[in-house]
Amino acid sequence: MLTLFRAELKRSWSLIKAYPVDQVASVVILAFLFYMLFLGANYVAGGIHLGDRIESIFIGYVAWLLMMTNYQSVSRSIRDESTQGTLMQLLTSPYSTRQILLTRAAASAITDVVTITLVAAAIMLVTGIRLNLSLSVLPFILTALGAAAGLGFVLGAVTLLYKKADMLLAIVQYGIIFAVMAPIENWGKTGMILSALVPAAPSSAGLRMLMVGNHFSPFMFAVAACNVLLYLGGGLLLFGVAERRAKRRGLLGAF
Amino acid sequence: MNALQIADLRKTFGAGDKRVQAVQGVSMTVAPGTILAFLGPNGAGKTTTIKMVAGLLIPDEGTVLIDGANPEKDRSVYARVGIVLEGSRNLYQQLSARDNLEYFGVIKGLTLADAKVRTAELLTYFGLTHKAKTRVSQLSSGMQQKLTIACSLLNRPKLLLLDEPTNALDVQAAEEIKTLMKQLANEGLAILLTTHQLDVAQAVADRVAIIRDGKILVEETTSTLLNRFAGDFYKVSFAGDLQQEQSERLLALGVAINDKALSFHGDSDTVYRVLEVLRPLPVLNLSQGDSDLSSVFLKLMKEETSC
Repeated sequence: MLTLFRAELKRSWSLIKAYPVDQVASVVILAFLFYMLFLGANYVAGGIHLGDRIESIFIGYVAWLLMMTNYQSVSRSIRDESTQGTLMQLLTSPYSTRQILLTRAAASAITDVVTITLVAAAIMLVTGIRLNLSLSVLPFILTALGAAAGLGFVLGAVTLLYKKADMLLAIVQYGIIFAVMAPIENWGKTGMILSALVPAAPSSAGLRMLMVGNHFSPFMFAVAACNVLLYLGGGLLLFGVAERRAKRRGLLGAF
Repeated sequence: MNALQIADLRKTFGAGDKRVQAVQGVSMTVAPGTILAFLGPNGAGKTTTIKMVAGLLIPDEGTVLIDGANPEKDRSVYARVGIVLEGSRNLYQQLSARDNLEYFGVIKGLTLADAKVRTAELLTYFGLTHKAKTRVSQLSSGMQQKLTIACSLLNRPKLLLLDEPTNALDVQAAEEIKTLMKQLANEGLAILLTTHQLDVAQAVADRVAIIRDGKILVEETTSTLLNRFAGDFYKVSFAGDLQQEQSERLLALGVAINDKALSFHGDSDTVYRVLEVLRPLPVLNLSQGDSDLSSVFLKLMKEETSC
């Protein structure tokens, strides 16, 4: 698996090198979008200092970017591989398709984290937002990425069976905005437990508690871990069932 | 041990009125160092069979054994198969030739170090070393096809599945691929080749299997098949241009048309019927000679239709 991970990392890097302008443009556009959001929020608030709230929005935005890129990695991989004509090569590997796609999601998460860190740094520079950054954010970033990948596998399963899932992808993107912005940390213990059912919501809340309130919540982390188990486990299971069904019905390659 | 052994494969799609029996009891074997050409008209069941062999489609019944192992139950067998499927470009167009080879080497089960060594070997073998850093999208069709085949050889497979490998290639590139197939078979590789280009099949295949309506009509060595139909084989060359109606009538008689030459199987009655269709075009030559796979194929298809 480590060999596969290194190969996926190399592939991601080669694709970035192939289109460097795209990468720079994505950093600029994503930072610009948040800056517009920031200016809009300040305007609506009539110039009142938004304090913690804007920082929470910023963390939500970064968590959303992180989730979006990871969740799209799986579902878009299937669509792109099939339109490129390389899906068959992945399906006829000694590695299972799930192993390849999960490893790819992990590899692309690393390149995405680098890109998003650059975006975050640019935003912080322009807006003056300051966050408490420490290594303790890593557990929540990992759980956010895991849940996003799990959701990606669910969408990947739909793509395998029904081919065109672009509308569903778009709808889920909006759902994710709600999930990462929901103030779960203020909903009490029952609310926090129930948030395990919403993809990446507990991870995003944990990040806010840590980066704005400077408090690592082990309870929130436990909920986030359950959230990963539910979404990643369920996503992988569903994808396996969909792959087998697609192979039985002859749906592979008919994109 | 056979590199590929297929026994009684069956696959049905749809239900009720839309039920289609795509493959009905297909069995065949491919031995190491041989090429089996798997031929048939469109919709005969070739692709369905190939997909079942590749593990991309689960059969309703029957078994596929690659080098003694069933790919449906044991994925590690994929490390011993090379696959080039038609309609798939099989390569990342944005990546270089080298990056593609190294990546697919790992996907086929090699370590990164082995993939690099094998990449260098294959680039040399296929004469593509000078294109190692070139993006695939900038390579010619012939080079892309060579690279695709190179990818399928990364893991030193025992079995190679080639689906229309010479499709859309110019004459020179197609000749190179034909030579390559023979070379690989000589090195001990078993090749299952599907193609509509019957001259390609005749040039390279040791054995031929012809499928129609999901059933194998014939499976035997290429030479035996050609000899079986040699006695009643005729070639006619003529001057002038065939009218559309003449071409249609000739095809209905099972005649293969190749520019100003016709070839067909039949008795003396058939010869006179062909000449009657050709009238008034001048006949330049009429000879009885060695059979070719195109005319054998057409004859078998015609016989099956009339049954």
